[in-house]
Amino acid sequence: MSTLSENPFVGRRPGRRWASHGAKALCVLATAMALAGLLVVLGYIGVKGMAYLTPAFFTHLPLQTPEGMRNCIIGTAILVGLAGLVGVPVGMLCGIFLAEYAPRRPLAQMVQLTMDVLAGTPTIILGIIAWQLVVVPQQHQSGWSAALALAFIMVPIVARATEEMLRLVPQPHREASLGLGASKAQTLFRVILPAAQAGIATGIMLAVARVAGETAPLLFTALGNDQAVYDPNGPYPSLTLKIWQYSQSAEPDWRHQAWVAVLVLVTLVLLFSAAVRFAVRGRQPRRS
Amino acid sequence: MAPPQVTDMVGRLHGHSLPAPAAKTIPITAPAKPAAYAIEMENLEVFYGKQRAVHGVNLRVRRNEVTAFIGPSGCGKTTILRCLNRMNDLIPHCQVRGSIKIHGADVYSRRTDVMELRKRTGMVFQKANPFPRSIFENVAYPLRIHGVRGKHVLAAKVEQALRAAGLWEEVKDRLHVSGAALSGGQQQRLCIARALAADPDVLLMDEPCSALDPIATKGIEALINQLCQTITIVIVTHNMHQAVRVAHQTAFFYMGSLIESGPTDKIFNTPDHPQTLAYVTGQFG
Repeated sequence: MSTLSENPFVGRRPGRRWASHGAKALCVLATAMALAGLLVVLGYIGVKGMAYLTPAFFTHLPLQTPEGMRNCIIGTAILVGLAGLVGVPVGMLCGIFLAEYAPRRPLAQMVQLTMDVLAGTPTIILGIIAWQLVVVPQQHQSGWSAALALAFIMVPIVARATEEMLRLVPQPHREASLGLGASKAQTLFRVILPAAQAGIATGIMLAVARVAGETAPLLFTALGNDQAVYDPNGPYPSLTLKIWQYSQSAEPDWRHQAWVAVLVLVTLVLLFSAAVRFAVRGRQPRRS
Repeated sequence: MAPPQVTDMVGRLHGHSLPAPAAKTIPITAPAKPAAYAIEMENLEVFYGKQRAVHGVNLRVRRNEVTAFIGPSGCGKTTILRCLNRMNDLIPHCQVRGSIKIHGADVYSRRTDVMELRKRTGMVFQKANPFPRSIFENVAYPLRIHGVRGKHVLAAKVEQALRAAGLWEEVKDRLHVSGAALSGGQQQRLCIARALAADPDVLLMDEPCSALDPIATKGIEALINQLCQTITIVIVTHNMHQAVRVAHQTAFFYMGSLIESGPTDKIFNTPDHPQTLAYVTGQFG
C-alpha cells in the first residue's frame, strides 16, 4: 500500500541526473576552450598587426620607403580569383553530377574517391604537380601555375559542399517540379540550385578562405614578385609568400611587416565571408 | 456527361498556351458516342525490382468526374496513380507493363514526351510541397517553365489559377510572401493552384488531405467538386468518408489487384465482392 508520503516521482537513480549535468558541462567546457583559443589567435594577430599598421602598407611596394605590400594584396586577390574561375565551376559541376546525375553508380563512387584523395593530399604535392604541368614546360614560375595549384585545392572542397547541399534539398521539391512538366535541367537550375545556394555559397567561401591562406603550393609556382606586375605568365606576388619570406628574416622591420600582412589577410578573408553570407541571405523570400 | 462538341472538350480553366493534343480533339463528324473515358488502363503491372506491386489492373476512368482509389496501405493505389504521369520513372528498378492511355494517347509509348504528359496531367502530393519562394512565384513556376512570358500575362494567369483554387481572396495582398508561411490547408491549395496553372486535363491527387484538419479538408473537397466540371480528377484516399463525399466513381484495390470498381454509391452500399464489403464496413484496413 502506498501512502501520500511515498512520493512516486522521487528519483531512484540520482546518478542519471549527475551524468546529464556532467555531459553538458563537458560540452560547455570544450566550446569555451575552442573559443578561447580562437580569441587568443585573433587577438594576438590584431595586437601585433595593429602595432605596425600604416596606410603605406596598402599604397607602397616592398623595398620602397616606407614599405608596403600593395602588389601582394592585389596579387593574392587575382590568384584566388583565377583559381576560383576554374575551381568553382568545375567543383560545382562535379558536385551536381555526383548528387543529381549519377548517385550510387560505380563511376560516381570512383569520382567521390578521387575527390576524397585530392582533398586529403598535402597541398605542397598539388603545388609540385602544378609545377610539373606548367612551370617545367614554360621553364619559369608563373601566376598561371599558382592558380592551377590553388584550383586543385578548391575543386574537391566545392564539389563536396555542392553534393552535400544538393542532397539536403527535399525530394518533394524535385517531384513538384518534375510533376509540373519541368525538365531535369529546369528543375536543377530553377528549384534545386536556388534551394541549395546558401550552403553552396558557404562551401565556396570555405574554399576561397582555404586557398587565400595557402603558401606551400605557391613556393615553386608563384615564386613571388616585388613589383606591381600582374602578368600571370611571370612570377606572381602573393601575401602568404611575403609573410613566409619576411617572418624568417633577421630584419625586425620585415618581421613587423609580416604581422601586418597576417592581419590584413585574415581581415580580407573575414570581410569576403561576411559579404557572401550577406549576399546570399538577401535572396530568400520573406516569411510574413 | 459531356456532349460530343469540340467547345465542351476544350472549354477549360483558361484557353491559353499550347494547342490541345490531337487525341483530345474530337472532330465534329465524330460518332454520337463521346470519349467517355479520360484514362484507360489495360493489364497494368508494376514491378519494383522483382517484386510485383500491381497485378494486371484493367480500369477506365470517366472524363470530368472524380474517381477515388481506396484500399489499405500497400495495396498499390499510389503506385498506380504515379504511373499515370510517369512519376515512377524517378524510382530506380521500377518497371511498368501493360498499357495506359490518357485521352487515347499511350502514356508509355516511346514517342511520349514525358514533360508534356506531366504538364497535362497535374499532380498534388500527400504533403503540400510549395517551393521555398513567394506565393506568386510558386504559381508562376509552371507558366515560366513552359515558356509563358510577359509580366501582365503571368500576373493574369497566376490570379486565374489562385482563384480557381479558391485561394485568391486570402493571399491577394501578400503574393510576395513565402509560400511556406501559409497554413497547411492554404499550402495544399497553393499546390493545387500551381498544378492548375499548367492547364491540365487530368489532376492526380495523392491523399491530398491526409495532413490537414477537418476544416481545411472541407475546403479542398469543395474545390474538388468544383474542378471536376472541367477536368478529370483521380484521388487516392485513406479516408472512406472522403471518397463518399467527393467521388463519383470508386475503385477498391487490395494487395496490388483491382477488386472492384463502379459508382461510389454502389461500392459503398451494395458491392459485388465480399472483400469490398468488408473493407468499406471497416472490418479490416
